[in-house]
Amino acid sequence: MAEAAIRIEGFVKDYPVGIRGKRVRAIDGLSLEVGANQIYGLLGPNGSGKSTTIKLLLGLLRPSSGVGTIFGKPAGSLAARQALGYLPESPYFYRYLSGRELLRYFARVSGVARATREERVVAVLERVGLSAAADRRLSTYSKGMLQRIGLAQALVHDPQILILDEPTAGVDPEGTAAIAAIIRDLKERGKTILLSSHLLSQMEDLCDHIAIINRGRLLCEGAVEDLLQLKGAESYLVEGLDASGQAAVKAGISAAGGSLKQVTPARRGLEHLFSEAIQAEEGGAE
Amino acid sequence: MERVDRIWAVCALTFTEAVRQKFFYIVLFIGGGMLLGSGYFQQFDFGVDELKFVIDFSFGTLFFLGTILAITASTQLFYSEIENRTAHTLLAKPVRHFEFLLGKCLGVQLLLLLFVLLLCGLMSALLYLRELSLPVTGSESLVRYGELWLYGLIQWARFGVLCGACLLVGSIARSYLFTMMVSFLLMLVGQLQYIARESYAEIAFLPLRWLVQTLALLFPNLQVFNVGDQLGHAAATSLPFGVLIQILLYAGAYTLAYLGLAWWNFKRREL
Repeated sequence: MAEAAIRIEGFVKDYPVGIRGKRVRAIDGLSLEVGANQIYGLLGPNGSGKSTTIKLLLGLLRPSSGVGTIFGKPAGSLAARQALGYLPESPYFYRYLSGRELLRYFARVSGVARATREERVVAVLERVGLSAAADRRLSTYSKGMLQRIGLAQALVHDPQILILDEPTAGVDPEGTAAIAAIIRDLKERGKTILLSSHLLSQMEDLCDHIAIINRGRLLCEGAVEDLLQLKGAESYLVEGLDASGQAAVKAGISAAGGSLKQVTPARRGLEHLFSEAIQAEEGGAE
Repeated sequence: MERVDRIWAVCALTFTEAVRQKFFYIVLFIGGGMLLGSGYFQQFDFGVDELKFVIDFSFGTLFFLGTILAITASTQLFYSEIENRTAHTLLAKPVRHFEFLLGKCLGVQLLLLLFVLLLCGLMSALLYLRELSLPVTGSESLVRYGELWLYGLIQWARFGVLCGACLLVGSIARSYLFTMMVSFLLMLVGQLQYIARESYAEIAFLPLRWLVQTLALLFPNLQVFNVGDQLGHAAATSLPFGVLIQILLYAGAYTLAYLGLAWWNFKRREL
């Protein structure tokens, strides 16, 4: 059996509250397994325990009980952290540094060899589309650019696993699409990606596996296709039927023993419409 | 080698951040202003000769402003990483907690070294110019210039103890203000340790005396570093070399002990 990229077995995390020793349970017996080369989405409302789970995997928090492993190595250990790249939620970086300086710093602390460091920094800047802004101070970066430089610092030591905490939070649809494209590209390059979000439509498009958690408990988990499939139902997208044609279809369904439950006009998602409009505008301007 | 590189990277970034802060320049400006103005305080000269007064005043400036800078910079540069959550990103990388702490401490010490060098340089230049303007009384200089830098070195070692203490407090504290206040309090306790130690020596009940004397070791006796009277002026009794080494070892031991405790706490701290 192939070794899981990330394995969580019975994570429990309690926080002490007040001076009377009362404890609040943030994670309640969570078990997950993320296979290699998956894009795995951790979904849940605010406060559901997504960020806590991630911090437990990174060793920034210690579990009250349970174990986590990264490619078989204990979560939080140096060897496990070497295999990880992490983008925190709403990342804050040293604003007086330029994008290039920030990446040089993180490459250095991550142990990227001096001989290949500069090459690696240039490649990662290119990958996240920030080559042109590489020498600008981070204080002049937009929110989307900060997220991308955050992604770049997570990638700079070429880790096998990327853990991205709300990677598109506060980013406009265009920036979101750019980040999604980078994530897909990373999967193609064989990386494993664990990302958390509460933006469901983005996760549906991006992830191949998801887990939904609430109040620290796992509600459901599996491949997106399996979870979203309505058993025994199929949908057809038809256009160009007039009223008599629609009546004939309904009659045909009925005659074949089926039952027409719902007829709704086909529509695009707002995100799709927005991206299309922006792309059309930019295409026309060129 | 990688470990040294990581520590040095954190140190260099800490230093860069520190020298970008206005506070450093404000302290430097005040220090420079006080040294330049020291010649104008002659009317407060209580019978001591002019150069001696300038030396004492300059030493006092270095001691006082350096203490403020050491505590403020150590607290701010460490705690900002926690508050801004840049420590999360850094410690999610293959960086050990002690590498982070040591890098921070060295970065602050580099800043304080720059402060000490600049003030000692200015002090030496001012005293030299002042001495040139005085009527010649003999062939020997009235100021032992090398000892001005020695005083700077001793104070720098003392700032290292304060930096270690700040990191220790910061490793436990949950707020920047608390870290700052407790660190200043620790410095005051250290300055007044000699009084406490003298009174402990008078306790007749031996076990109690040993207990309080052992507990007193938790705080350094910062009076050990007050050797300004033995340095700088030609008329002063020189500081024996052995005492200098003892002072530096004393500072090194407390700095390392505080850093060790800070690491022990910080390693267990949840971010």
